[in-house]
Amino acid sequence: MTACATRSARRLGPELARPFSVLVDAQMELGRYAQAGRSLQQMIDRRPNLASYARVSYFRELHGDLVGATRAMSLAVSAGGGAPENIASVQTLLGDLQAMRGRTRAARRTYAAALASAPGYVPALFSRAQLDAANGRLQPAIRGYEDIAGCRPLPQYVIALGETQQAAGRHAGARETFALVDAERKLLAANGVNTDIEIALFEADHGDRARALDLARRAWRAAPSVRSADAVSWALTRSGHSGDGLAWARRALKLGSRDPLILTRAGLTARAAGHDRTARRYLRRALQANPRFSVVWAPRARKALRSLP
Amino acid sequence: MTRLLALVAFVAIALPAAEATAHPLGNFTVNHLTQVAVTDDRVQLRYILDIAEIPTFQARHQPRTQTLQRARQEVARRLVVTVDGRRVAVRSAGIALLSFPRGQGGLSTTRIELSLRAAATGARVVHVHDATYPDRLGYTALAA
Repeated sequence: MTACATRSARRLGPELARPFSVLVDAQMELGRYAQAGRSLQQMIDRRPNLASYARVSYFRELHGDLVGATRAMSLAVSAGGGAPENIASVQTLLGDLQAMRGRTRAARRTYAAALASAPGYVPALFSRAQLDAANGRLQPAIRGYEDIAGCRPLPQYVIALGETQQAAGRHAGARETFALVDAERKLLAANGVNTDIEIALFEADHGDRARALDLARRAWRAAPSVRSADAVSWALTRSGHSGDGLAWARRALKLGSRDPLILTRAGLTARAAGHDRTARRYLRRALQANPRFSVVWAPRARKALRSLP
Repeated sequence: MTRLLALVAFVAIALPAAEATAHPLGNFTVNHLTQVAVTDDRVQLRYILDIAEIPTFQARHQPRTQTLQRARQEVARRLVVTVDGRRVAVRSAGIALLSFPRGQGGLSTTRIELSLRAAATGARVVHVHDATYPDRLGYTALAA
């Protein structure tokens, strides 16, 4: 529906760049990547600004081009403009790309710049805590996550807190935190939202696997993107169907993603399905750019890689 | 004597659109309404705090007395009443009400009502500014 409305908006005002951002976002999230690429080209031709560079960056990231994604996001930061939160937002995304490529110090500087642009900007605080956690600074990471969960308890943030508490051996605290995620899941369900990918992945790892699979499949039906394919794959694997899981993992990686989380889950899935060579390839790729990419997933990738013949 | 009442409210709902569509904003919020009445010698305030399901759940292990005490502290610190340019203390004026109305998903919400007053003898300009719970998303409203 969004795409239709945007197309007519574009017919009415073909010189405007703004409808394109909605169109591109819709096409990307609906998994129509070739169309998204064409719309994106038209968008950037009309107006090379923060909004279009940021989307070029995301498009390249999805296709595994991290260097190109970083370059585009730097251009988005330089283009600037708009509210301070807009600049902080692209600075945070730039930091995330730097972190993914193992440029930890650059990432830290970029997050600091984002927080200078918009003090207290929550996504930058979150990314900074994530970087702390990935690099073994669990206590400052937990404090950071607790502050964030105190003012903006979105599932993604609360899940990160619980998983980091678990990694730090604070199991009682993690249980309390996961209870909050469960309350949020119930609220989402009460509001008719049953396609949340974060919650699907959470359920697969820490909750009810049947529910994980149900949520992930709904997410895929609503928006068949590489992200929802990853959630279906992982939910299948955690439910003991790693063979089917592997087919979905290939779908999640079909654009050539270098996302170490998706690659790790794909590697673990391939290993469970008995495809050792494929598993090794995915897991090595996950650890290649930054061996400390996540406090939860990097150790899992390393352990799985060691266990392979 | 003419008297002016200035109410300053920051109705702050700053949430990126993506979050608003993906998650029910309402369940995350901390909302507050301050009703203000000025008499000859005082400002009377009724501060009503509505805490949605998620922040209520986050405070689930807190004893009731502490829940009330925290709200009182927040109000003492951040509900700013100035009389002719000078900040005056906001004091309790009656009993506080605390209840847990049923919310969505089988969860509770929290409602707190505080009766408050501040001295304003001979005041010309009374200024009320509600800056409570600055980090939480939600509505801030003032009514005179």
